[in-house]
Amino acid sequence: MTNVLQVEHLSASYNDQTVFADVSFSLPEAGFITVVGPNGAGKSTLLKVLCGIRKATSGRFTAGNGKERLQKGFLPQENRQFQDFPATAYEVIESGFKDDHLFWPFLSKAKQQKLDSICSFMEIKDLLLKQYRNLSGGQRRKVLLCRALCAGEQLLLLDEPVAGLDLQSTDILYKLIVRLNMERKAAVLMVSHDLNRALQLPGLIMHFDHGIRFLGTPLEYRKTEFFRNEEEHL
Amino acid sequence: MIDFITQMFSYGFMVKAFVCGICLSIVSGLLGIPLVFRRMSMAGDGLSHVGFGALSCAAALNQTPYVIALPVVMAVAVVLLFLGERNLLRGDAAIALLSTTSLAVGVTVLSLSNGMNTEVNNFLFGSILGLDSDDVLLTVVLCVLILMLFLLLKRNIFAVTFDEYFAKAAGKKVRLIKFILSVMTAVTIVLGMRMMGALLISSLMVMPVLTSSRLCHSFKCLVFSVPLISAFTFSFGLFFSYAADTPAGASIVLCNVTVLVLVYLYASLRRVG
Repeated sequence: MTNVLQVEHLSASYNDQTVFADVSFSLPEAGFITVVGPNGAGKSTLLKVLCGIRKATSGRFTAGNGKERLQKGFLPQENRQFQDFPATAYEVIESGFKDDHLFWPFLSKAKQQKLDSICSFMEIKDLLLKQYRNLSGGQRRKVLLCRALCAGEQLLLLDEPVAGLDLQSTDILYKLIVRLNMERKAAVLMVSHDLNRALQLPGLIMHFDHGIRFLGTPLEYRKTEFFRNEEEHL
Repeated sequence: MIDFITQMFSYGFMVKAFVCGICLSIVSGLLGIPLVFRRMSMAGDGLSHVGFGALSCAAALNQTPYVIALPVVMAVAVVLLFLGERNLLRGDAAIALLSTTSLAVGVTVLSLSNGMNTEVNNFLFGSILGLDSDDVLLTVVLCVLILMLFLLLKRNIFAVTFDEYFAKAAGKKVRLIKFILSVMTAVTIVLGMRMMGALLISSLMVMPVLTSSRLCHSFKCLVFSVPLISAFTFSFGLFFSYAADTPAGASIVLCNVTVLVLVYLYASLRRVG
């Protein structure tokens, strides 16, 4: 099986302080890794580096099979979007597409169809013409997840997709993410604070604390001291 | 009413002011959209102060105003952009520093060269009498160019304004888009300063956007309605200024505020009702 993401000896620092060092792992096609760990451990920074928002201090990573660069679908953590901006959900989702050309304001037919298929899969067709600023927290996350899918469907980098959501919305969103992984073969790298839920998800658990401390199945993770420490904090 | 309008347009300077003003109000309204929503409304104001400094220097050196003001303001706009990006100076502090420094430079240069006179007044509060045919041509050509660029970049401008972070992650050319926006903003401000005045030009960028964002549910609607509202308030302000013999720039600003307040009232009433 080929890898969609290959990370080799990646390090990053902020104001001369190391955030994480020597991180190496690979994410196979349709793989699923949930990243857990304490606050301020550099989990979000890892995603930012992988998205190209921040620069790594050393090491490298490749997305795709090496020949072609794979577009990544990113779901940012907090609401960095301006809440008072008048935009419809459709406009927000559509902005995920990278343009064929900088000065070309129209969407190609192929992209239009892709958007349609994504929206029906995510069951948000009835929201498309609503104002983004009037949507509920869960609906907004769904819209932003659709936008991430437009940007790149094969590799999803999700930064705490359920933070601040109620139980019901959390359930819906997790189910959608798992379905994306199972049915549409999206590889997922997801940061999560919700340890108990993370252990029920498919794929592997990565314990991250300024570097990878553990990477393995949920069953193996339960036997580690990291899990016991985390559980004490819950 | 028709007589009044015919009489108004029998003056060459009024026709020039009207043509320039319509073009400028359309593009400055549009460029205001990213400024307002990226929380950089005061950047326009800061740049217009720099424009004042540059115009004063141009006057002291007996140079054509635009030859000096255009490159200076564009350069400052780009520097501001990159200072903000690297967190070297916080946005609002940078603008406060820049505004006052440029104002001080402008006033000092003017008083050293020929004393403080009507020129300062014109630069600060604008004058519609000062436009010649070359100015009109330059304004129209540049405004059409900016309008076209804005519409072509529309989707990218939306992406960068709504969520710059994501746009970067999605591989969009965020820096280039921000650079183009900065340059377009600088050009619009320099062109608009002569008529609206350094102290008032930034209102053309902010107020129509605030008004429209109360009425609109989508970005598409915003891009459509901002130029309309901006052109309408400009025309009305100019008529008023001609009729009541008040300064054009100030009248246009007041007209904008009136529409803004009315729209806010309407929106609040509708919500209550």
